[in-house]
Amino acid sequence: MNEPLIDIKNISAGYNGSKIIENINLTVFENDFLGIIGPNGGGKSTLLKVIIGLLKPDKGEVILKRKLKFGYLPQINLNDIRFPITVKNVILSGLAAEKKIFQRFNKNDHKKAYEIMEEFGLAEYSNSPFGELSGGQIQRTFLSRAIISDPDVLFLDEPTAFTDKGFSKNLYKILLEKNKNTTIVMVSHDTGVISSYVKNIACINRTLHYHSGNEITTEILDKYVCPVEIITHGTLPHRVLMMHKDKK
Amino acid sequence: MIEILSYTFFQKAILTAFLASISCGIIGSYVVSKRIVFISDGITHASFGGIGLGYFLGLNPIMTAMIFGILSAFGIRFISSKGNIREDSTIGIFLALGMAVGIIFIYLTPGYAPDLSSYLFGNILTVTSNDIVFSSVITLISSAGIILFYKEILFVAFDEQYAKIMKLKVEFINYSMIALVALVVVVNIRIAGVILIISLLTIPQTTALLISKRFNMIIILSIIIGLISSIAGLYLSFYLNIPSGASIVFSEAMIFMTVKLVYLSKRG
Repeated sequence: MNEPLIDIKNISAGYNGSKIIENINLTVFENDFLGIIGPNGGGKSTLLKVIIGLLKPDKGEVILKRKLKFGYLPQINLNDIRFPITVKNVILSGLAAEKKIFQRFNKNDHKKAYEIMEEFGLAEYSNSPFGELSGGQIQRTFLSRAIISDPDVLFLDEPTAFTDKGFSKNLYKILLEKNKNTTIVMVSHDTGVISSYVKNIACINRTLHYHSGNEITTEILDKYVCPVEIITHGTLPHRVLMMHKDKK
Repeated sequence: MIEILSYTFFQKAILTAFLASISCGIIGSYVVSKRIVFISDGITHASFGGIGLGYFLGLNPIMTAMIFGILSAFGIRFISSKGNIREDSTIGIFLALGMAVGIIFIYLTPGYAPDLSSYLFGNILTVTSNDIVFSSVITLISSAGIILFYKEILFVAFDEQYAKIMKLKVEFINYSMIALVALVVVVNIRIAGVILIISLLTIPQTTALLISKRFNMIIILSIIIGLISSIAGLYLSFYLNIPSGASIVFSEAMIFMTVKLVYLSKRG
């Protein structure tokens, strides 16, 4: 087992006093590919925000074992996207942490942005207004922004919510390649896909159940009433999991 | 057409319009792109309280309005960040309260309030040298700010959450920008008045948004459109003998409609 990279201890958090997650303990390991699954409103995104530092927990702490560079793909709200900015500038904004104040982006930064746009099929939209992209293109742009800085840890919140199946496959190929030297934490509904790619699984529904390894067992599903989307067609590797009864 | 340029009052008006086009062009692009038009209008109206206070204390109303404007901008942001009261409601309260305070102070000030209508509706022909100094300073600050902090302002305005992850000073930039909105609005109050000034920060920018979807282009286009419409408005006001604030707003709206029509006909 790799060294622990992030220790999450006794975290409780929520918005405006309501508790969404409670007493969460979780360890993210170096080079981990951790899948976080759970029902809607179960606290997946909330947990991610606490780890990244966007949401202050009511209780508990997140301990980073060393200084870490984060990349983050947020859940996308298409209504929010109308700001006049070009696709290339959105991607370059992922390098903002490395730039001093007054410092402009250099040739190298632009080159990096172009390479990523090529990889994600965005090259022809480089100077297009971000607000005119399709959902899938927006998601790919945000993903480009998340990885352009070569982060130590990549947090992905529903990375395939808008992508077509063709790109999803491509995406997982890219992620597996990235995972060689990047730790990945991915939130997804898509448990079928999760169990094919990830190394460890955490299921969260207010509280958290950690499962070392990538098998989703009936025990996990039963205990946490996780919704399962099982993909049984296409060329994606998949596992067919047992059905489980809904718990009232 | 040319001979009125020899009048000092007209020269001052042109200079004021030039400065206003730059400051409103820059800050208005931020306001429109970030969709904070309503908070900006709220700040404008709230600053009227400062104008009343200025009259009452015998101080320069622009000075007191600046303080009122900044305090209400911070007040709105602070109260709505607490999460209990929604931002639009907070703005509504500050807007009305500021106007009320202004009216009370003006009522309490003995004698007739000179220039009151120029603060309400604007009269660019009454600008003083002092006003021009204020306007120059604020224009300089806005220009320097956007040039030096362009990427920070752009990224924070586009996506605050990611800007936080990128360790940008999100709160500092937000508060600085909203303070600048207040300052730009107040130093330009003499042009279009409390009631119409928001148009200088929104109509040229909305027109520019029809033409481009790049933040830096929107700033440049807004400045140009603002300049053309304020000079056209000044001439209209002079020759038709109508209030300059209203004629400038009218010119802006005409340009907007023309551009909109061109784009509509292009699309067929």
